[in-house]
Amino acid sequence: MLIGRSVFSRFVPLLLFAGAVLLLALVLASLRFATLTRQSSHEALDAARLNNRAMQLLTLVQDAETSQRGYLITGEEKYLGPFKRAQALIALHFLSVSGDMMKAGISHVTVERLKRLVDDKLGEMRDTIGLKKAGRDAEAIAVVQTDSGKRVMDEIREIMTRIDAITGNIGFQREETMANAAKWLLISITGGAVLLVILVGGAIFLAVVHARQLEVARQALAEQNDMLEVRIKQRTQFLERANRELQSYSYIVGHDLRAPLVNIMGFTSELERAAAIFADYMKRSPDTRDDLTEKLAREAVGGDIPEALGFIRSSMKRMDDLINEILRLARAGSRQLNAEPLNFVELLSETVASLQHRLDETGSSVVLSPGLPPVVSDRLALQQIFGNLLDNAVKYADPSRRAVIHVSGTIANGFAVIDVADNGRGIAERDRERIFELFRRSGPQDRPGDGIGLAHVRALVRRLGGDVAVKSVLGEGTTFVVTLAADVRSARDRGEP
Amino acid sequence: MNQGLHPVVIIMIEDDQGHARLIEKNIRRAGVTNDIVPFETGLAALSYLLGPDGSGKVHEGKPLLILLDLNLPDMTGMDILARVRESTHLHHIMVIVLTTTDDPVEVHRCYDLGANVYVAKPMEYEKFVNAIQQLGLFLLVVTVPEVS
Repeated sequence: MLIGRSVFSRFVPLLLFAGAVLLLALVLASLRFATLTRQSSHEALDAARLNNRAMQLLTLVQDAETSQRGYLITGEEKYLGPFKRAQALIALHFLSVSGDMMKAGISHVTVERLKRLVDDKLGEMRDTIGLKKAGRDAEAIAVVQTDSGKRVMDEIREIMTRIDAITGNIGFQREETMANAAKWLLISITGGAVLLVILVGGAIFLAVVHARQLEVARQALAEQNDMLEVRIKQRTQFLERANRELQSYSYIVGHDLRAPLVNIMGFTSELERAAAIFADYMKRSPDTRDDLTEKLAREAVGGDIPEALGFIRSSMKRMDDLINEILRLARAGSRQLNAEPLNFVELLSETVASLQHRLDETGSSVVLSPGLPPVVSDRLALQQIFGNLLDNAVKYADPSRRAVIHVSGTIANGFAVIDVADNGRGIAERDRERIFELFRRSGPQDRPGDGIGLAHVRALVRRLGGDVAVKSVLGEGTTFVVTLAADVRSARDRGEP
Repeated sequence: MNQGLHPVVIIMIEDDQGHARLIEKNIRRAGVTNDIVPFETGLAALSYLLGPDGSGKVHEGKPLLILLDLNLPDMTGMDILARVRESTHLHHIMVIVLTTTDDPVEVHRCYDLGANVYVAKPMEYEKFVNAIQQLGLFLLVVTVPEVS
């Protein structure tokens, strides 16, 4: 997804750039076609004008001829007006038109020929008019009758027809070019418009995609932030938990180790006191010993001294036990864990087998639900955890009913959750946190125990990347919920204790 | 000191038998001759104090005094203190907390919960004896309220 997006975002700007280049080319082509159109139309127009002027020239020559004929027939001076006008105009016309004709592709020879023919014709007409003016009418008619003027005129007409054909052809060609150029202009404008729409669409699409990418990136960042916060919260919880444990440790050391010390100090003093009484008694000579000192000495030797010694001994033993338990717990916290694939059914069956004797004695039973999840964890730690929990469930069974202990489990989000549910005597609400503390026990103290098992269970479960919680209804039963990392290596990777 | 027909009964709630014995010895040495009823667990003490109906009515009219250790195996002394102060009949009897810690937070909590006196068990035996005997002298001069 990420790779596809980056290829896409590199590809689209390239496409847009190509489109822009193409659009520029189309604009240039349009410009070219527009210029061509203009040029062609100019040329077509020029050809038409040239044709027009050629026709005017012809008309002038014809006017001059008509005027000459009129004068020859009537001899009246007024018929000569058009001739004179035409003669002047023809010279003028030739000055401008001959260059244009050559430009239009009419050969120099033809133009020269036309010029000479027109000059000849005008010369013939001038001659006849001159003869007429001189009164030599017959000679003038004779000149006309030679048909040379008619031949010249015919040839002029023929050249004019050729010029007409040539300019017509030029006009046609230019019109053709113009139509073509106009067609291509239309095509390139249409193409440009389409391309423009595509480009704008592409740009909008790109902008939208980009905006969406930004939004996705922003969301990802926000998620990361959230995750970071969650992790920080988790870490803080771990630290707070570790801190609480440390506090409860110092409390334990403060209370539980001090208590036997107070006894040892106290009974040592009692011992001294009793010893002093007995020493005092012994120092007296037998005749000064009265009943009271005798009684006190007997009490000291027979009662106080053995009592004090007994308490001192038991207190020392108690202290030794406490220190051993604290050390055992500390050692459990530093033991190297082994990660091995474990089958809960097999593991718990072993634990149940070791309890079988006591189960049979009390008529209790352990039911392992199907679907206990497989885990990768430390075998010894799990045996100790579930050994303790099952042992407690049997130990604190309600004597009024047969104990049934259900063990069930699920796996989700990388954690295995194992429930150990009994129908025992239950745990009062105020004790549900206390029971996990060292040397603390709940309910009537009528079963043997030192308040160590659950402290041990909690320390072990936490080392396996999880925690243990308890749900209970007093008088109905208790469920211990053990959550552990399905793979203890992942818990270690997260740096949990 | 006039406790009428019912002299003060001292309820001693202390799980450590050694402590219980030392306390008793030293109270006796201070001249206190009142009955001392010892309990080693919170549950046993509470069931005695509150009686079968859970209100403490069984001790009506009797002056009671509780010597309470905070650190019990089955519940904390705080729980017992709270239960005593909640009960209709026992709520104003005298409770003396006698325990190993002198942590100020703990001391405060005890007074907050309605302890009348807080005595830390000192490590040096002379101080311990002194504290207990002072307590004995204190018991000789105070008038202990009866259970209402």
